[in-house]
Amino acid sequence: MKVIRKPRYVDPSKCTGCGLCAQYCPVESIDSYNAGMGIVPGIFVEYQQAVPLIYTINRDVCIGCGLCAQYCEADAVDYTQKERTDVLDIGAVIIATGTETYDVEPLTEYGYGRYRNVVSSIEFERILSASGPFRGLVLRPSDGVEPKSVAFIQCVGSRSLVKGNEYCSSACCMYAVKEAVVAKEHLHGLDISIFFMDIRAYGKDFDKYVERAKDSGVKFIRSRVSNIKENENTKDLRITYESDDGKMQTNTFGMVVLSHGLCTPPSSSELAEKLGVELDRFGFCRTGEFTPLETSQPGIFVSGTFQGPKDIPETVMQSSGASALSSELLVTERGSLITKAEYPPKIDVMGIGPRIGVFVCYCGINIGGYVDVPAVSKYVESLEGVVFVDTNLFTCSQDSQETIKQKIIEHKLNRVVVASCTPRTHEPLFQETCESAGLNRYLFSMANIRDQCSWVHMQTKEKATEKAKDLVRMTVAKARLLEPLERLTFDLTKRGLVIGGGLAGMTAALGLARQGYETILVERENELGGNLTHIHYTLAGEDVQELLKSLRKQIKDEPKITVHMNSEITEITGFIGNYKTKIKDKDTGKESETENGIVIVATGGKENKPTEYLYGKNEKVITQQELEVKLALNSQLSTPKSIVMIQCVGSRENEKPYCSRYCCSQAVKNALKIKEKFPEASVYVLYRDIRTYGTKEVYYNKAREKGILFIHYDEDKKPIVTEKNGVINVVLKDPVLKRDLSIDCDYLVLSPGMVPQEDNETYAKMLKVPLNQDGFFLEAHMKLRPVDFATDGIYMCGICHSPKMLDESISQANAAVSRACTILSKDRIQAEGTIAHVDIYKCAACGTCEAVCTYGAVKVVENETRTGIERYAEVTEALCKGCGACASSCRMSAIDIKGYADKDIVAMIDNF
Amino acid sequence: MSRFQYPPNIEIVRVPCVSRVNPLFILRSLQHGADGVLVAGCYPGECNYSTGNLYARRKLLMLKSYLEYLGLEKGRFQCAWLSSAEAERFVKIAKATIESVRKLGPAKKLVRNKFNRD
Repeated sequence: MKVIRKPRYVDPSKCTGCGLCAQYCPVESIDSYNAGMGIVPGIFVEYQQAVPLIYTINRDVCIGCGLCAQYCEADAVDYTQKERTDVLDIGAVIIATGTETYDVEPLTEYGYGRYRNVVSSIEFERILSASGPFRGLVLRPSDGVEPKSVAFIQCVGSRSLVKGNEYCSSACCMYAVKEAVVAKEHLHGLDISIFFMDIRAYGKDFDKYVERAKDSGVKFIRSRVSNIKENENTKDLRITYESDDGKMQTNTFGMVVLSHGLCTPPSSSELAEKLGVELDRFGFCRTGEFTPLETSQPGIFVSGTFQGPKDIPETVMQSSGASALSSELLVTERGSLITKAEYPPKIDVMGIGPRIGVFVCYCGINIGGYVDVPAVSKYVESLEGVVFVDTNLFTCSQDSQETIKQKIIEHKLNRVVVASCTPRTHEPLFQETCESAGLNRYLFSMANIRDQCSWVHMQTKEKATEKAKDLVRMTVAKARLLEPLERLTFDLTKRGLVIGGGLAGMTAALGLARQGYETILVERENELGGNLTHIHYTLAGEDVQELLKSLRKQIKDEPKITVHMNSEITEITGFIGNYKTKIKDKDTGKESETENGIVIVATGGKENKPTEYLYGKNEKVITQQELEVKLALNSQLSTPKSIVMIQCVGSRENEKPYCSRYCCSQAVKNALKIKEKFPEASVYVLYRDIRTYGTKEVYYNKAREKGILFIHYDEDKKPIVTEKNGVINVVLKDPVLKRDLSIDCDYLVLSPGMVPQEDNETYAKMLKVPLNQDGFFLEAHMKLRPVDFATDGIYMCGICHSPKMLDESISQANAAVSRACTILSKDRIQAEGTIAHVDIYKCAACGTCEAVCTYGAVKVVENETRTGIERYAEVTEALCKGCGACASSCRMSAIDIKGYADKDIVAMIDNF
Repeated sequence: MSRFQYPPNIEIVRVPCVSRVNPLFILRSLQHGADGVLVAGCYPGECNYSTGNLYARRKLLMLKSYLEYLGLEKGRFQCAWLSSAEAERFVKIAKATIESVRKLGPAKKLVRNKFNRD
C-alpha cells in the first residue's frame, strides 16, 4: 500500500513546541479548529493539548519570509521538505475517516450565513469552550453581547426527504442537550428552547441527562421550525412555530443554533474507490448487519461514523472491535516487529548518600529569555546533595541525552533533576536516558520552570528567577529522598473466561479463540443463544436463526473453546492475569475449578414482563418479542384486521427511567412484517418518541409509506385500554386532530423494554465491579471506555452493559476481545512503579483504603504473621494506578505511594 | 501554552491526583510559612482516576471548615475545580487566591515558632 505523507515543513525530531516561530509569523489564517471563528499564525499547532507538540507551516498562507526559520533556536524549520510516498507492507486496513458536518448554508430558510447570530452547533461548541474564540463566554457573534435566549433547531439536514439526508444523524439530540446544559452553566439565567421532532436519547443513561436538562430549565418544544427572520436593528431572530395546542406562535431569540447532522465527504468515496470498498446509497461504508466491522473487501475493516452516524461510545467500541478483527488476521505475526530495549546493568544506589545532578534548560529563549539561567544554576550548586550542575540550550535534544548519560557515569550521579518544561511530555524521555545510563528511572525528578515560571511571569524577570530557584530547590529536596522502584511483573494465564453464551458471549469466545487463546464459555441455560433464540429476522430482513445456528456450530467446532452449559460461577478470586474460577454444574452440583487471565462479562438481559394494559389477563395482549415469534411461525397468528402497538410500556418512567433503545426499531420491523403478511391489516404505533436512529430511519419512513400510523402520546396522557366482549379497545388523545381516538384491535402489542439479568448483582459482587442505578454494569468511562471496567482485566459486552441492537452487541464483543488481548498477548503483567504500599505494623485494618479504591487494588486481608493472626490492608500491585486516594485517606498513615510518598511531598512543602 | 500571566508568588507541588493531597499537607504548608494554600483538582465527574476528586472534595471541604473553626481566616485555604485546558480560568483563580491572601496579610495562625513573624 502506498501512503502519501504531506510535509510539515518542520522537522518533528527537532521541534520543541516552544511556539517562538508562531509569535513572529507575520501571516494569519482561519482557525479551522475553532470552526473558523478565530485566526492562527501561518505556522501553528491545531490545538493547545496536541501531543506530540510539533508545529506545521500552512503553505497556503505562508509567504516564505523565513522569519520562523530565523527565530527557531532548534533549527527545526525546513522549507525544502517534500511530499513523500511511503510503501507500506501491511496485512489489514481499518478505515476510520469519519464524517463531516452537514453544510447548512444551502438551507436558506434558516438564514445561516446571512444572519450572524445563527450559528452551527460546532461553532456554538467552540463558543462554549474555555479555549474557544470567546474564552468560554457565551457571546453573540454580531455584537459580542451575552444573549438572553438561545434556540436550538434539531434535524437540520437530517431526517428529511426533501432537503438534506433521509437518515437520522444519531448524535445531534444529545450534543444539543449537552450544549444547552453547558451554556446554562456558563451563563446563568439564559433561556434555552430546543425545537425537536423526537428527542432521540437512546443511549445509556442519556434519558437521565435529558431529564436533568429539563429540571435545569431547558425547554423542549416538539415542532419543526420552517423559517427564521432577523430583526435588522437588534439582530434578534424571530421563530414562528406551531405550538402543542395547534396555534401558531412567534418567539424572539438572541441566538439560534442549528444542530446539523453528519454526512460523508466526497474524499471518503474517493478513498473507498481506491480501496475497492462498497458504499451504501448515503455514502457510508456498506457493512452487513451481522458483520458491522467488515467492508465488502476482505481484510479491510471499518469503524466510527464512516460506517454510519453514531455517538462516541459506539465509535470507540467499533474501533476496538475492528482492531481485534485485524489482529485476528495477523495472529501469526504478533510481536514480530518489536525490538526489545537493552539496558546496562543497574547501578546500585543503596547505602550511598544522594549525588544529585541538575540540568537546567534554556529552552532557547523560552526559559533563558525570562529567567536568569546561570544564576539559577549557580544557586543550585549550593543545595545539599547536589554534586553536578549543567545548563543546556535544549535539554531534550539528542546530544543532551548523551551528555546526561556521560555525566551520570562520570560523576557517579545517583539522582537526576531536570529543570525545564512539563513532565507531561518530557518525563519519559529523561527517564529513558537515566535507564540507559544504568540509573533506575524513578531516581529522576523534574522541575517545570517553563510552563509554571518563565512563560507565566514574563514581565517580572527577577521574581521569575527567584521562583525558578524555589521550584528547583523543592525538586532537589524531593530528589534527595527518591528511592529506586521496581516495576513488579507477574505471571499470567493465557486463557479467557466469558460469562454468558448469548450473541455477545459467543462472539467474544470465538474472537478470543481465533486470537489463539483457550476460552471457557459459561452459560446459565441448557443451550447457547440467549435472546437470539427469540429473534427471527432483522430490520433489513436477515435471518437471525441462521446466524444462531452458524454461531453454535462454529463454537462446537472450535477446539479452543470449552463450553459449560447449565452452569453458574460460584467464586472468582485473584486479579488480572491470575484468576481462579469455580464453575458449578446446576444439574449435578459438581464444581470444577479453572484458571484464567481475563474475564469478559456478557450476562445479557431479558424482555421485561409488563404489568399494565391487560397483559397476562387477555391472551390477545402480547409483547413485541411474542409477536415476532408468532409472525415467524405463520400458523400462530389468525389474520388480524387491526393491531395496536404501544411503545415505552413501563419504560422511560419512574421505576425504569432508561430507554431500551431497540424497541422502536423492533416495532417498525414487526409492523412492516405484518403489512407484508397481511396487507389489509391496519397497524397503529403509539409512541412517545420514535427512536429509529441512524439509517434505521429509512425503515420508519418506509413504514409510514406503507400506511402504518404513528401516533404520539405524552407520558402523562397514556392510552386507556379496556376489554368488552373479547374486543380490546384503545383510547387516546390524537395530538393532530385534537380529539379522542378510539381503536378496536385484534392484538395489542406492548414494547416493555429490556431489563438486566438478576445474576448481574451476584457477578458484580463477585468481581467487585459496579452496576448503575438500573442494574446494568457500569463501565470505566461512559464515552471513552465503554468496554472496560475500572478494574483491569475485566471487560463487558452485550446487553449487560445496556440494551442494544445485534450489530452493536457484535461490535462490542469484538471490542472486548481486543481489550482482553492487550493483556493476554503479554508475556508477563507489569505493574506501575509509583504504587501504594502498606506498612502492616501501622495498619489498623479499618478498610477505608478499600472503600475509596476505584480499582479494587487494596483489600483488607487476614494472614498469619509472627505475632499470630493479623488483619491488614494488602495492595494488589498489578491493579494499583498510584492515584493516592488511599494514602490521603489513611488515618494511621500506614499506606503510602512510592515515588509520591508523604515524606517526598512534605520535603517539597518544607523547602518552598 | 496560553501563557497568560499571573503573579510569581505561587509555588507548585505536583501530585498524581488531587486525591493524593493529605489534609496534613495543607497544615504543614501553613505551619511552614505559606500565607495561603490552593488545591486545584479536576471538575467533579472528570477525574482521570474515576472518583478521586470526589473523595478529595469531601475531605478538603471538611478540612476547610475545620480550619476556619480553629480561627484561620477565610480565604487562606481554597479549593478550585477546573480542567487542564482552562488556562484562563486557572489564572483567574490564582490571581483571586493571591489577592484574597494579600488582603489578609502574613499568616499568623498555625505558624511554627521559627517562622512566626510576631
